[in-house]
Amino acid sequence: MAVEEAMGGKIDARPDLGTTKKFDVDNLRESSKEAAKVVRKENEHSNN
Amino acid sequence: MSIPTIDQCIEGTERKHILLDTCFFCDCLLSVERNEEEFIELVKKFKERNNILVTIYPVALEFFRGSDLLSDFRKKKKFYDNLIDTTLHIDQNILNEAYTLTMLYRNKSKDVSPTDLMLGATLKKYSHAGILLLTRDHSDFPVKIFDRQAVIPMQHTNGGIDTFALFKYSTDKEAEIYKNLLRADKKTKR
Repeated sequence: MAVEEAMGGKIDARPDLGTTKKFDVDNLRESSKEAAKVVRKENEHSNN
Repeated sequence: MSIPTIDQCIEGTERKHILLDTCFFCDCLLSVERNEEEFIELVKKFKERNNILVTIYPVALEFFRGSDLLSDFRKKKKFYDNLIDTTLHIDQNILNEAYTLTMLYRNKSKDVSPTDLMLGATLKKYSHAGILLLTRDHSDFPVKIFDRQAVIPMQHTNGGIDTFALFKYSTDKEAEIYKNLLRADKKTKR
């Protein structure tokens, strides 16, 4: 459970299409910068 | 010849569910790495049109795999949560549709990943709701089965360009393929 929480929680999959949730473009931009660094690290690792 | 703006490309897609392929996640982050705003801008435009951004669990797995540390995973999860409104279940219905799609693709299904078949099956299942798939992997969603509704050119600062498209499932094309398959089957039985 602790690991799952540290992963950022479960993916809450739904059986139907669902609706939109609150969107904040600044949050998306900031989180994308952090995630981009992670993906670059992963790509460098897989290229070596 | 002029290149259409994002607004022109996604005109008429208001309030629709947009199903994201894995390539969108990856290209979006590569673009952010290059300090580009185009993908963030596209998401913003969808949100302004009350579009609902969804994906399926197999796409999420493709995006999340490769993380070495919990902190890495968390960062990807935060981005995922900020981007996606709803992650859809893969239920037996979707698996059944994907099974049928492997036949509709005919010999082309050999080169299509199970994730893409499940994306196609999701389009089919929710076709009544007008759901659209956003992808740049055009060959994985052939226009023999799907309708390409819009093309969205994403230009990069280094001069490159990726052409994304919005696809929907075509029940008319499905019926035509079934007809041809049954006709061919009749001949082989003779």
